[in-house]
Amino acid sequence: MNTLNVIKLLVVDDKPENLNLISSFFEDSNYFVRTSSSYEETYELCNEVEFDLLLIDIRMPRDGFAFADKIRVSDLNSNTPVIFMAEKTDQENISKAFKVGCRDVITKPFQLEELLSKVSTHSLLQIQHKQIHELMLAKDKIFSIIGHDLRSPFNSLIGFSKLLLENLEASEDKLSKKYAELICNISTKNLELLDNLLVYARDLEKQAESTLEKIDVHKLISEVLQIVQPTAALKKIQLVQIFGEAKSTFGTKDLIATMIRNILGNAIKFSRQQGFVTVQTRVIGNMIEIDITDTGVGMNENQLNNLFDKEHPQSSLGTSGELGSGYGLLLSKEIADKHNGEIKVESHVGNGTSFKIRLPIYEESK
Amino acid sequence: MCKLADFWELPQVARCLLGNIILTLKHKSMGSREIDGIIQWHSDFETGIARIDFEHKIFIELLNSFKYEINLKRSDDELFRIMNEIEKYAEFHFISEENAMRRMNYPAFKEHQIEHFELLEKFNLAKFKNCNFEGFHEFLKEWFLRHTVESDTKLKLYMLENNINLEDFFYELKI
Repeated sequence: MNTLNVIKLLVVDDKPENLNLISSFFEDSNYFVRTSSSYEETYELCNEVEFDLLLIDIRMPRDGFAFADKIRVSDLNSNTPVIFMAEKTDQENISKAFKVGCRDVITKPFQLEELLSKVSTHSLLQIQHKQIHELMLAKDKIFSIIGHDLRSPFNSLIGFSKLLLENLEASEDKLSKKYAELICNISTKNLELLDNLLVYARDLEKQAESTLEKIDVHKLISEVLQIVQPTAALKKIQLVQIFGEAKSTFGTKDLIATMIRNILGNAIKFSRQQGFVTVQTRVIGNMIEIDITDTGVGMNENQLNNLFDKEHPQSSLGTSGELGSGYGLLLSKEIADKHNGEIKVESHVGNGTSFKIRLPIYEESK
Repeated sequence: MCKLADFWELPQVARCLLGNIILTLKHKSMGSREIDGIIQWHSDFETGIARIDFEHKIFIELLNSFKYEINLKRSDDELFRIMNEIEKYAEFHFISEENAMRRMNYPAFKEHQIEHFELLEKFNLAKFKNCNFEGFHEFLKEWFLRHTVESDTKLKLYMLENNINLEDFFYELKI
């Protein structure tokens, strides 16, 4: 056991004999125990020490419940779990304790093992809870830094390489143009990778809850096609949008855009030079299907089966040696699931792949 | 010839001694409540409610069998099991009494309930004190005798003073 994780316990009871009894059980070095027999004393201690667990006798002179509420307002102990102690026949107070939301109740007379087990379980839970909270904060901080500080260099690379391309427009220096295009392409791809990683790693829940709205599917597809156009152009791949019935879906626009962009990116990645990628929409039942089909290298059965394997994200090299993170498809699947949709895949080696994204149609009630 | 007035002229020590002798004689004449730790039923225990008296009789049986097993030097495990039985029965019995008191709208209900809570606290403390089983039995016996005679019997008084007919309130014990 980590000796730094000493459990800080506060026991509150108006009878000194009870305080002595309970303290005697926690005399080993894993516990730091304070006792208090009055409300005033307890307030003082709660303002000095951040406890991991409070053991409060329900039958104190004043209302034990109101008292527990007041502790929750204090700075250090607002989230400290409370275990109430009550006599076994005190049904009223026991019910009330659970309703009020205490962590647990220990009834008297008690079994020693029960007391020890409940105290250690709940205090360890509290310690772990605090650790998780700190880890989450650290994680968010890191991603915030990555999100801002790491993205800007790429934006600069993309910007300057585009400027370079503009300057070389009229030039005969085909090699320099090619190099500039490559720089632009690689930077764009890496920025995409960064964005994918960030979205995947950041809490999807938080993302999805932010802005839920009605989404025009055709419009969104057009927007995404514009974004991936430069990458397709590099391999001279034609992007074709085939319009079916105009429909809307409901959800988080950014996430759905990311999903479509990922799958389109894959279609382009695995298409050969001068290939075709079509994006067609059709209505199937109460779902709208976005069919992204390429005429690229395709996948065998093994690759198909492991496509959405969470434990081992796969990434194959594209037909032009493009790299990937393996997370794009996993992220896409999660986004589809979150929107109550699904992704179906059909593929034949050498002939190409069809990704069919299905999303529920959003009909506004008249 | 001694007159009652003379009694009060004796020094306090003598009065106490005499008082104790008289009480003991009174008990001996009415039959004592316990012999060698074994409790005998006594009219001092009567609460006037057949169901409560019945439960008290069972409690006495439990305490007496505890003493009996202690004398027979049973294993610690066996004796702990009997202690557990007594503990569970006490909890049940307290609730029985409290239910009866509530039904009769007994005015001193809250105080009596608090006494039950205090008894359970004392039980808990005694359980963990490093005394032997004999010591714990002694504690239980005194616990029972004092509470029953001093508090439970007040119910009888209340019912007499207020002409309470138990049949109006609940199903009285018929076995």
